[in-house]
Amino acid sequence: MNNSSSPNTAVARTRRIAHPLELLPGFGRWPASPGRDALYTVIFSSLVALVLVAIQAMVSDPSRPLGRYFVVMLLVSNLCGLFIHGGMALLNFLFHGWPQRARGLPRVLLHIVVSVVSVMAGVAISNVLLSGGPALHLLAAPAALIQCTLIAAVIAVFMLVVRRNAERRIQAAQNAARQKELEAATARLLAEARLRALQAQIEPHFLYNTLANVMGLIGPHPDQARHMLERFIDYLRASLDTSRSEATTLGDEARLLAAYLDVLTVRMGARLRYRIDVPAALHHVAIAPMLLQPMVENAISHGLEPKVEGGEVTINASIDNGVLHLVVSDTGVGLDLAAGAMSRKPGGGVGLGNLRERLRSLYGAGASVALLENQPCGMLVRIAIPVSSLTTNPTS
Amino acid sequence: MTVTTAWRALIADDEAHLRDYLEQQLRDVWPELRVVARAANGLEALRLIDEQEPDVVFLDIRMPGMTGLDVAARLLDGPHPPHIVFVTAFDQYAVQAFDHAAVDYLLKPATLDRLGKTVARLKAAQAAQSARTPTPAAEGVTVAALQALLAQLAIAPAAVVPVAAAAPLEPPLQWLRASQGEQVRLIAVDEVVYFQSNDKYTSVMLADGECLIRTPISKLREQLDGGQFWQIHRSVIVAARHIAGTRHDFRGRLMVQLKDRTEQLVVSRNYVDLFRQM
Repeated sequence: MNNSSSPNTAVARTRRIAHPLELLPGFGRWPASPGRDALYTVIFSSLVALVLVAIQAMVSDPSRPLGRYFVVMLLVSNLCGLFIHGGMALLNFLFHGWPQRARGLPRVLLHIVVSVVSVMAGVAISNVLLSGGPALHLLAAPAALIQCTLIAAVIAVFMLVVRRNAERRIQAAQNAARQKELEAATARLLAEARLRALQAQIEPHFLYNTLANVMGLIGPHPDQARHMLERFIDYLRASLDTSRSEATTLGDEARLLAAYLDVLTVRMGARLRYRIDVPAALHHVAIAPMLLQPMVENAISHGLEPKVEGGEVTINASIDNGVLHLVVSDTGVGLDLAAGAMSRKPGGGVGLGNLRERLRSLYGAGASVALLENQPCGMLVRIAIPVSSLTTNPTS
Repeated sequence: MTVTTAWRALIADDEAHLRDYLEQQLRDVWPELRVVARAANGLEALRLIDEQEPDVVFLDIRMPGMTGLDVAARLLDGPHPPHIVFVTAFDQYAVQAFDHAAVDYLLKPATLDRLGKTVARLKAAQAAQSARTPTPAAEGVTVAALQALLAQLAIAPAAVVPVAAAAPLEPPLQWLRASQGEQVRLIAVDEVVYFQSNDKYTSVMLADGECLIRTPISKLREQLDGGQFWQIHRSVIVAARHIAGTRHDFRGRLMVQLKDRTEQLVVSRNYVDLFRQM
């Protein structure tokens, strides 16, 4: 199933723990695996050894040979790295992944403890290997002990910072991917809206039914036939105009809907009454095309057409507290009957979902749509758009 | 060969002008036909057919109350079904289905030419019928043809009937009714981000707000589609498609992050398995 796969991949990604080496450019490129992480630890430890040798070279007598010192450091450093890496893996195994999930203070303490213990163990064991002395001899000397602890703490802090950064970067990449997905969805919606606008002019059922009516009227009622054709042409012209532009005005939209509903009134007779209540003061308000018309089409085809006695469609626009409200209501069959009627598509909320997505991509999160029961019967769809997110037409 | 009694017809269409137009056209191509009844919806058509017993009925497909296809199905159940001709405005899928089911149909607006063919077909069918012993529904639209048609169009009212016996008795919940002040808001379940049980009520959390319903969360769990809605806590059911991801908080609890809301939801231990990598 599509729905379940995406959250799970996201889960898998957030659970992964970053290797410190991933902070260096380029190392984040390879996918994480136990083998890769082990190799990274070797590289990381060797780099630490190199840095320590470099520091040594700067502070000590330049005549001293650095070659042997480097070999020693390489061994010590890699042993420490092995213990830290192994220690973390062991703890993860023993505590069922708790160390990976730990955040905040427990995480800092964990890193410091593991580092200190590992560095001491590493130094002690390399001491045994190199000079054959007793392993604990070094730990008895306080100066060496403090030095070890300091180095371990520095390493731990370094690991923490690096991990944090890497995790942030993974998070940022995830966010960017989501953002991209959103942008793609918006572009798709825009394309769909354009297509929808084009299709609306030639919706075949509407077109042929209208023409059939005109043909039927030409003989017995030529005046009515002419009126119907005129309004149909008004409607076609208006929807062609708006489908070519990005935005229209409420006034134009009201005129388009009036033409559309006039055509339908000829067809449905007394079964359709309509009222468009858009105050003249709001006629200049800019609005996206094809926002209101699908709502009206829905009210007709799912509300009034299935109802034997028909009813009324009302379109209302108002601005209240800086929010534009667009309301389309009908006195049709309402939800209960519509859910079972043949005209209702399966998965009833799809149309509304599209409208919601479109509103969001056009006007942001401040815009909303709600479906309500109309009184005494039928349904009511209410769109609310903050006036601030509407781009007003450059009037005058 | 002469027909002893004139043919009697019924025209059913919810658009008055289209009924008149078809009647006028029929007068031109079939002067001896008598249109005895006109119906504006499916129920009226059934009643008038019962009263008038016409020989042929012209049924619009999209009609309020009852579709033309439903009317036809009822007629074929009866003892003496009339000849049936479907009438429809352009609808690609319906037309394909008609062709496939070998059912006679007219496209609105019909030409006189095309109407003439339908008339000839009806007369031929009638002649064949009177030549043999008169059995009901021997030609024209047959029950099988109509059933095939209904299946093709998949718009029979019984289309929601569960397929297998194992399927739940009721289809999953599609709509919620929540009172919002004086009004009743209708919420498609697709809109819901998550449900949170809240004493006697259940909070319905949406991308742009929340409302209360009276249905307890245990009841909702039974009614909702389990593939779309996951219970992650005794008191929380979340919509799978609204989940953005999960993370662990400082106490190691699994938290669900949402796409359209900022708060995060705790996944209780019993439900953690839901998020294990599959």
